[in-house]
Amino acid sequence: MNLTLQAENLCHRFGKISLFSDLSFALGKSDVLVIAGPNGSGKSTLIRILSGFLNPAAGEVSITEDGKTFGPRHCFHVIGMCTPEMRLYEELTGWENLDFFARLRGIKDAPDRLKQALSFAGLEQARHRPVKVYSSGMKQRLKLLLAFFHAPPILYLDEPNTNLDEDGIKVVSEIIRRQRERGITVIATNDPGEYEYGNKKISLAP
Amino acid sequence: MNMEIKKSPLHHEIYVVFIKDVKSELRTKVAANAILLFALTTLFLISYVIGPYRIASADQPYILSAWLWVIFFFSAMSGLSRVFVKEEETNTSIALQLAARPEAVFLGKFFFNLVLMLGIALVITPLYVILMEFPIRSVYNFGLIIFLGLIGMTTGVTIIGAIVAKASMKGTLFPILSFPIIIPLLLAVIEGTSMTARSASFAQTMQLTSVIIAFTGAMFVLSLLLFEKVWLE
Repeated sequence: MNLTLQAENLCHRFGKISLFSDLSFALGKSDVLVIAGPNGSGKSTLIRILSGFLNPAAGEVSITEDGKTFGPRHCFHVIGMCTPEMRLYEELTGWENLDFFARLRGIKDAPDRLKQALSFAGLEQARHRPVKVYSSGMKQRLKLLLAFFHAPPILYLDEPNTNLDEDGIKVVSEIIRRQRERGITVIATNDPGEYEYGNKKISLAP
Repeated sequence: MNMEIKKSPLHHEIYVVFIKDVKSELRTKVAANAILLFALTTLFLISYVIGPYRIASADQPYILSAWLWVIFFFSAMSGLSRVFVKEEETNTSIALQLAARPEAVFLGKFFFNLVLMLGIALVITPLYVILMEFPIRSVYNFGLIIFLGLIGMTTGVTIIGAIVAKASMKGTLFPILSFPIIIPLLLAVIEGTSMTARSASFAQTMQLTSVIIAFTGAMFVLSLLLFEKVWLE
């Protein structure tokens, strides 16, 4: 599989405030791009543009696989995403949340993989509790699993270490290591400790 | 795009979305309670203040039919938009947009709303018929009109709920948008319901039944076509 995520001359602005302009890069399999920059520099906005949730003011994002090119909105089913604004179904349990998305994605051997995934994230003891009683760190772990569970070729992580303890941060490192073997990873962060995840880096100015 | 990841069959996705909404509703009971309480309050208010005896018998089929559908309409207004509004307000829509096809989301939520409305109708309709002494000539025709009318109303209210969920003034916008879209259907179902109280003949209700089916079919197809734009906005 020859996979490429390409951004060409991306510009975005909110009103008169320009966030970034003429941003171009190409990512291939095993690439991990770190988008760095202070608060308000447009990291999350760039993730939203790359994933197809926001149209850029100018420029284009394309995903190419084996010579076929798609817009990001046609690739939702192969994207994994974990961002601070994403939320889980609070009234459902951790297991039910994961099971819901696994079933939607057509994962056949879901129960076995669910057990493994929840154990990997350290949530096996809390799997039958409603998400509303989870701590913010546990919710973040579950969100990371939802993003990663279906083995997506492209994974977007916005501030992945938010609210996580040391064990949680190890889970993030392992997710990124596994994703590197499979596809493309894009991480938005303002934590210098997370820069080491990437082999490519973009710094956005405020 | 990536052959390792297979999409689930559409009917399976619809079922999964439907079951998730049922499970969520059973845990929170917000939509069911809102609709049922509104419907019951309105029903008992009408039956207590007016009742069947203050209406001339010649007017009964028309007035009682109109009130029944007013109860259904405003009950639907009070709860059915929640399936989309909740996804937007709690920011769960992002993950759902990534994982499910738009048509699966629409149909899953449509079936959830339909089951909810049919459940409410099963409680409200017999009570209404008894308390207001609604003179049904043909139970079959009456049931058919109610069933078809609820499908049409649910279709309209579901797509409007999806549109309204993206707007900021949700509470106001929902009835404003729903009213003109659902009025033609309401006129047909009210006339159809009153006809079942005037005549037992299926042939007489046939024309109105066709209108309701045609309107519902058109609204359903348009909703499916429109939904992707609305959902991914």
